[in-house]
Amino acid sequence: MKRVSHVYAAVGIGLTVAYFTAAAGNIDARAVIYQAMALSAGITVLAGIWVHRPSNRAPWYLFAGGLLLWSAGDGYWNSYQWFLGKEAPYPSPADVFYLAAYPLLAAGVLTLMRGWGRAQLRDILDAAIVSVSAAVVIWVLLIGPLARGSTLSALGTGASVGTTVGDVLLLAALAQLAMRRRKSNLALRWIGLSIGLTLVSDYVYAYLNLNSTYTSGMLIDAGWLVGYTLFGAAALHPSMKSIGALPAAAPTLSRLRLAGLGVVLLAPPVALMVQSTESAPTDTLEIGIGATLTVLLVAWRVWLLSRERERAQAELTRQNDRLLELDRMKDELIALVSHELRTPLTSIVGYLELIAEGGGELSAEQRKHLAVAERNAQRLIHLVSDLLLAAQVRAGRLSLQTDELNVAALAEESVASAKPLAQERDIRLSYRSRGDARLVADSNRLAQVIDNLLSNALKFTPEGGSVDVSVRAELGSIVIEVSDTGIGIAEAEQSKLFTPFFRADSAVEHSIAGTGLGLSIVKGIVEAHGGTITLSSRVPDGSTFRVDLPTAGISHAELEYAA
Amino acid sequence: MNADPNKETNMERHRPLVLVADDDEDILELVRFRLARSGYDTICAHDGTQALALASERLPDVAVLDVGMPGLDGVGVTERMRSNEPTKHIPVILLTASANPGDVAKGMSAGAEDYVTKPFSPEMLESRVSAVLKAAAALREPARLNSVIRRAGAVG
Repeated sequence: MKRVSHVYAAVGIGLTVAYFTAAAGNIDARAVIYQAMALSAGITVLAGIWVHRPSNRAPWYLFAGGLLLWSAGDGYWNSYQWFLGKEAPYPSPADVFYLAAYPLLAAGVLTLMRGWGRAQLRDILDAAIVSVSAAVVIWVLLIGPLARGSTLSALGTGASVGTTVGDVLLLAALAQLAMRRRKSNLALRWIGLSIGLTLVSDYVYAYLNLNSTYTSGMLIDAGWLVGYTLFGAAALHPSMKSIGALPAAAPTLSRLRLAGLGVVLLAPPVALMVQSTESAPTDTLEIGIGATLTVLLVAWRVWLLSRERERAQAELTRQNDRLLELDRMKDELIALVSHELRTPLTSIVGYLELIAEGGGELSAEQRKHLAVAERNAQRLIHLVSDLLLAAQVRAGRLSLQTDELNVAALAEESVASAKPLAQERDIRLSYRSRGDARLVADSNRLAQVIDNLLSNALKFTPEGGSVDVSVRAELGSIVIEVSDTGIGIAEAEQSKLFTPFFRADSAVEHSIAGTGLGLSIVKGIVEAHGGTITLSSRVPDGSTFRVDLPTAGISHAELEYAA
Repeated sequence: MNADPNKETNMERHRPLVLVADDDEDILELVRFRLARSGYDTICAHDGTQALALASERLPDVAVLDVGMPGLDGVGVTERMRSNEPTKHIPVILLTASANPGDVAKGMSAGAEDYVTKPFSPEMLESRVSAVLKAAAALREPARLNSVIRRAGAVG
């Protein structure tokens, strides 16, 4: 059916072109084209209902009714051409048909939105602001001059005013449709475009009719012709079925909408200015009423906006509080769990130790098994204390027991205890220090920093590589550097590396064991000391972690952080 | 082993008596067993109140108290022992499941001699007990010598 719809649209456009080219000089041919397109639009909409059987049929019946009324009006108009060889007078019974179609089409547009839920007040207001401003312009351009008397007869004036009012009605309905925030589909877009084109042609026609200067075959006929075509094409398109189920679009106040409303607001003052530069009498009262209405609507809209904003703010605060609460609960849970795990772990490692040192009745194999249990229990203990430490770091409750210490000595110890592992993995481990590396710091925690960095470096360096640890005193700070010739860390991951539980893809890929806690703890400890940690790394050349610790000791701020 | 230096006190006052208090039965037994193996006499309490009662009644040479006992905790027991003349000088070692230095500091300021963080190695705990006993003995030494000299003088 998609194709049928597109073909229908293409034929309609083709006929419209033919109307202005091939049939340009031939009134009869034009009348035939016009009549055929008008009639076919109404019938096609009915066919569309029959083919697609949309659950919401009311709008389509209303559209078909409106189109067929217009077609009847066209029929009357064209009969004049065919049978009398002249244009129908204005007004004529054709205008009765035309007029009657407007309420049907407007109702069709409004019922099209059934299934979208209740309209939001803000959308109704936006549409009302647009409609009122448009009405002011139409009044100034059309209704005012018509009411003041034109070359038309009284009936003609009535018909013109009626049509214009019908157009305003349709415009108001279209504005409601446009302001509802829905993702659009093709059928809906075509309906909107069709009504828009029809409205433009109607207004130009009404304007021309002020001075009876309209003749059939003028370019504005294209608006009506294409309008008919798009109505038919929309009804044939399968997407017409799903208009009622279109998803809501994000309820943002788009800049475009704001700009549009701003332009629309200018309508009354501009109309006033235009009128006052002409000699024509000014519709001051009408423009004043329009402007007042617009201002009231805008004030209402602004009030809604500010209330929406306040609500959004309150909701955001509530959600934020909840997130903070959840985060706090998570930290508490980690602290509690790791605390509770310590007691059973004490029994496990304690009794393992009792058995191991208890006597000689154990076979070598049993001893090996005990060692495995012991090693894994130790791993668990390590994990538990890391978890607890990470929770303390996150809660800003990492407390330090500071004393004067020599960073170089700490690093040397770490390197010495890592030597066996390095040898086992055939990694060259070197250490050097320069200058006086004394500092007031928490020696256990600082040792943990160096141990963690060193064990990471060893973990991520392939056999035959090298790891270097250096400690040097610089002006006002002590710098610890741990560099490796490992696999390196991808740039995209570097910023996330210090967040708890983050694990680099490469670590997972190479199935290197770890919890993703080590570096977050390192960062927490370094920062509690008032220091910084930085990383420079390139895949696949290796990484260098650099820790800067201020020698000025721990400042007041950090002490508070620690507390 | 570590127990050897205590032989001296053993000779003087039988075997050293250690009060162990923990609400966790398994840990209580672990500590009791390990200390007994090194030649200590032990008395066990399952909560703070019982520990305090045993401390005043038996006047142990050292008390190993768990901080995290329900009701009267290890820190509370230490405080009360310190405010009671007979138990005032009994050294206390606290067992704590918290790595939070704040909790440790609270216990130390209540008058504990030392603390051990759970999970601990029983051997390490035993060496702490022995160290605390030695320190206590060293403190008592001048007094003991004085009384020895006094007794010698009285005889001589």
